[in-house]
Amino acid sequence: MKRQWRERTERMAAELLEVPKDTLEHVPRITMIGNLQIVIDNYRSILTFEGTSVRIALAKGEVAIRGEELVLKVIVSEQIVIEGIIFGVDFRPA
Amino acid sequence: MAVRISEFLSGSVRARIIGDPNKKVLSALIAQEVPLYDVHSLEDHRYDLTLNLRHVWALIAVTREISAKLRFLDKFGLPFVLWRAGRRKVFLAGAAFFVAALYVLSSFIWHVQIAGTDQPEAIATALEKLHIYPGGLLYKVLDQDSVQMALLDALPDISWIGVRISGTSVYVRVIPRTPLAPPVHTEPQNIVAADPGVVANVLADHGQALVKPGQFVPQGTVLISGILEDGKTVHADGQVRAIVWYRTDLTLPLQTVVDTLTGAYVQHDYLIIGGLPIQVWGFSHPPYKYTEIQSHDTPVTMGDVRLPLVWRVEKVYEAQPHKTVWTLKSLIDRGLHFAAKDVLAGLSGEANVLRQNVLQRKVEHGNLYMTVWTEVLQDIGTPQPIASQPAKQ
Repeated sequence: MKRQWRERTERMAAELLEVPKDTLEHVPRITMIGNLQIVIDNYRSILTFEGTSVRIALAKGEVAIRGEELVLKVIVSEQIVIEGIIFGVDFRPA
Repeated sequence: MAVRISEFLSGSVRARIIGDPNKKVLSALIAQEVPLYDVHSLEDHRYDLTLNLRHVWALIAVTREISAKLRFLDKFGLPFVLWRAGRRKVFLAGAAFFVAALYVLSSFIWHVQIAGTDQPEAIATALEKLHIYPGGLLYKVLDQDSVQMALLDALPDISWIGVRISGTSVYVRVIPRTPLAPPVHTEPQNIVAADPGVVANVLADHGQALVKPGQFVPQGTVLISGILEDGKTVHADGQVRAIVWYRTDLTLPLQTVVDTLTGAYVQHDYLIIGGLPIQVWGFSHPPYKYTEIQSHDTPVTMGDVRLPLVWRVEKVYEAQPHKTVWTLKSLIDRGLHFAAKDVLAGLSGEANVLRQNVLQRKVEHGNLYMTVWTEVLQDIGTPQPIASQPAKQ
């Protein structure tokens, strides 16, 4: 109850002040460079990782990346960089 | 780039994890916030990853816990380079020597270049006082601006100097001062005779010539007048050459003795400690009948510190006296020559000896006493200002 109230206030304040949505902590930011690179900020963990698919847990739900020759180029605590040939990015709710 | 360098300095390892189908090792490392790079998934539940050297123990611990196999494929970075180099002592010594030599050699000035002047020696001397010369130590040299200011103070003939110290080279660029045109004199003056004489020729640039060739003029006679016929005054200028007589009294010895060196010498070296010379090298006593001794002292210094020691090099040369007995004729010729030199030395400007005559001579007490009469053609004009006064009087 308390958490919901806090989230609601945050969203309201963000909309009121026209703050970009990615500055809110629990929203992941996903940047793609063509179909070659994808950068995901604010991820939770890696669920599965194969050469053809990567599933990454986010604060809410998860994102699955399909592709070929996928490599986790960099993994640090705040950011993950995936390179390869990307076919699709799917979001799945929690 | 910065990341690359720090990565190189701390060292990193590429590892292969075998037999971990659910990537538990990867998840555990991510959970521990270990930065990972270039994770490649391979067949048969294998994958490769790169991580920093300081996280290797975490990787080993995690792999043991999950009982997967671990194989290290490659290692990069400075720690491994050092580890390999440490096994080659001579190579390491060579590297250290190279660095030391580079440091020592780059602390000297190797090259000084002076441009823009036709007298680089004067600049070089001034630079030497500021410790800038090939072979000088760079740490003694002030910064560029201070050197520039000091040189500008030390050399009045330059209007600008640029000093650039780049590495072990010093480049100096000079712009010499252009001398000002001499001011045009306008104040009224006469040209008067400085010495009495017979006028030979008169060249008046400005003013009115008052004397003619062949005329005898006593000292102080106005030669070129600055007061014109119409009463105007000008800055008289010109040349009045006249014949002037001089008397010179000389005393010349009939015999002279000159020492010449035969070239043979012995060297004695002394170390002077607090004023007490101690002979340290060269003890031979040569059988020279006549000697001439030349000694040269060098203070002993250690870096900049002057020690209370002086190194004296004493050279004892063999001398040979030559006695010359002059004939009267050659002695008179010498006397005339000396008299002419003596007279001309006291004159400025163009002057030449026309005639010489011996007025009287007398040999007494081994000396020749003589009086010489010398006739010289010289410029006798000297400026004398005209006191400003009304033109009509």
